[in-house]
Amino acid sequence: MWILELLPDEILLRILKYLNSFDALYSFMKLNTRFENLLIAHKREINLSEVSYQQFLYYFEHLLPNINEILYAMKLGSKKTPGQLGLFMSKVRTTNQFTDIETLTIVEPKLNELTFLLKEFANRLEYLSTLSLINHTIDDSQYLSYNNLITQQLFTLNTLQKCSIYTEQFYLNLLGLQIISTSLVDLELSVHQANDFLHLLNYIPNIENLKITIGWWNHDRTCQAFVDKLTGVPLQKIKLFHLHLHSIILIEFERFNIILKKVLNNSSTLKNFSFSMKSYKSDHLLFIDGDAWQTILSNFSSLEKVHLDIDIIVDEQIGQNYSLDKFCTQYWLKHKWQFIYYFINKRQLIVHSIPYENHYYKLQRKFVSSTHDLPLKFNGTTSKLTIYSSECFNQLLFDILPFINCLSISYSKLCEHQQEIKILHRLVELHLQSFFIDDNQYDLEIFLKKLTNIQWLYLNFENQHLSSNQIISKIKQILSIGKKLRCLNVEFVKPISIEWTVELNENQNQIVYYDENKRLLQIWV
Amino acid sequence: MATNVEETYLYSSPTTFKVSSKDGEIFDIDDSFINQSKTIKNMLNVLDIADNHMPIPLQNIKGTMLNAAIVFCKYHKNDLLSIPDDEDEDDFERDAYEPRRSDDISEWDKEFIKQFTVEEGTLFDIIMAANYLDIKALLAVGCKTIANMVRGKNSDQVRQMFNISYDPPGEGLNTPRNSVTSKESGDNQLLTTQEKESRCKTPSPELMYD
Repeated sequence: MWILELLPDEILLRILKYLNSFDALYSFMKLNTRFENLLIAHKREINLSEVSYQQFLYYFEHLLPNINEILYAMKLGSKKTPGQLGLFMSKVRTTNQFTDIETLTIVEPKLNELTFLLKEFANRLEYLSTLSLINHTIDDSQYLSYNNLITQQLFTLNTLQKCSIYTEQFYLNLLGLQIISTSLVDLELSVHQANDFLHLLNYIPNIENLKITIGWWNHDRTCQAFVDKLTGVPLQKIKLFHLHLHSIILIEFERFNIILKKVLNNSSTLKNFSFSMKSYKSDHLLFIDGDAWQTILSNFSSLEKVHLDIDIIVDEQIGQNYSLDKFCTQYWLKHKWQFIYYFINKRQLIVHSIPYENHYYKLQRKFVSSTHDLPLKFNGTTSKLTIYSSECFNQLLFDILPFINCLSISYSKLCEHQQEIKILHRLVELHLQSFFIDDNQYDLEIFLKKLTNIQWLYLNFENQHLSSNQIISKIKQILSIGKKLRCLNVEFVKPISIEWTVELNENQNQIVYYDENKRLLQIWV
Repeated sequence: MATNVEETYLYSSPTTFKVSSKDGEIFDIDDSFINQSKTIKNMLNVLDIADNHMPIPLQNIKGTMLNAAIVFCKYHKNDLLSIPDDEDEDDFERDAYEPRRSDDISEWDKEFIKQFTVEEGTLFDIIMAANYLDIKALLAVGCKTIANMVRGKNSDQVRQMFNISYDPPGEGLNTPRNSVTSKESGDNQLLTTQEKESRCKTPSPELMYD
């Protein structure tokens, strides 16, 4: 008879891949030597950014002392675990734990947290070679401080070889950069303007992989001045270069070509080139011209991979006559670089290479092309779906919903479909916009009783006409029903003065955070 | 000749073959099974099977498991080919910290896998059969089911649930160094001194060091 232990290592490893590091260590650690060895991958990389409060404490008390010696990668963050970074800071301030960390990922830190992590914690990590910062929500008032902290601290980490800063709305102003980083070989970040990008090039002499998003590209005299300031060959060792132009205001292809020539200087080391852009102006036609791109790319003798993604507005007449002929010449065929084009509407033309390497992009495009009128964003890796309130559920959505584990939807839309709520039983993360209390018709508790796997609940709470007692009672109800809840995040439309730490003090197994503006309540359970 | 078989398989569908299990049961298999089992597909492509009335011997699989695998493949014959489970490792968009999803077992698959149990060892039988036949979807359902069973259980409970053995006395986790570490961590994991031959039996735990 087969038993678990008789299964070969590859099957046991396969089973472990379905468990996150906490679950795997909690269930299999200290069983016997074989399982200890199979757990090595889970012992080396831990993710503290999605654990419950109790799991976090368990990590520090029971698990970390046993894995500290081989732990080399760690992910921290307060987005799904409010207060976690603060707690982490208080625990590591006085210890020498984690000194062997090589890879650090930080998700949505507050300014004071990032300051500690970059100035103190990261400086202690003598082997730190990879740093990723994911930060999509930065308050406008703190933009300057964030910007200064990143530009001043990042380049002082002299062991850092790889750095990624993922931001959606936050573009770095790098003009204050003064420190040259000789260790950085791999860098990914978003910068404010072309000037910042050009200035950056003077400070990363050994860079091999560079992925840059430029917020606004406005080619003017200042930009030209930065081009002129570039000394020597800025990217001598470049192997991978990705440039994304988020929003082009004004650039002629010829000028773009001149800048690329200056920056890449007929690089003989460049193997992977990709470029993407979105333009709302109709005078950027050379960006969809195969001959024009051939002129640029033929300068790079070692080029193996090329990816282009051009999203552009064209005149209707030009659109009707557009063809990919110029991307089908001998040059393109010889390299096997192939392209596809289609229209989102009569004027928005998309030309991109196939296959496109970005998985998320691929899925999104697939959906856009087949259901472009649907108001959804579908991310295949996390199965995330956003449904906007004005739209109806249709058959396609119903086909998708059972596979979704993260949903963002208006409360009224969810109420309209309360009969079908069961199809959402896999939901782990739910964002409810415009949540209101209307005991006569709908009840969130009923939904939560059916959606038993919810771990992260985000409410945008319309509380204008509610008393403090009603709100407190509702929050307590939600906390008592959501058995698997790890985080309740409530954004009140109207600021409300409630001493939440007092109101919720009966439960010591949670961290409560209420912001100064009295509009954001976060509970980490 | 092998090329001919491949061509036969590739181009003259539907094709049926016979397979025989370890315990001598003979089953008919068709495209639904062949397309999902890489092992069978490779066998047909490599072996010269002129007579499809002669059963292909599958000596590692019991008849009950082979039958179940055939039923599984028949049900999933029209499934769209998804990204194979182990090929997403190269997906650079994948968060290295994120485990693979295990909450996406369909209702039919959940019911199907319920017939196999840990107590009787049949859950591991079907996993091994899926592994031998290289049926990715079935292997995934089996592994996900086990992952879902253990999630949230501590190692004591897992040891009990799956009858997991301790290291032999004085070896591995039962060396003094490891035992002390364990005690200091307060992990409630009691280490024992058990005989090597008692592997696979759940011994009653006893402390090595008081």
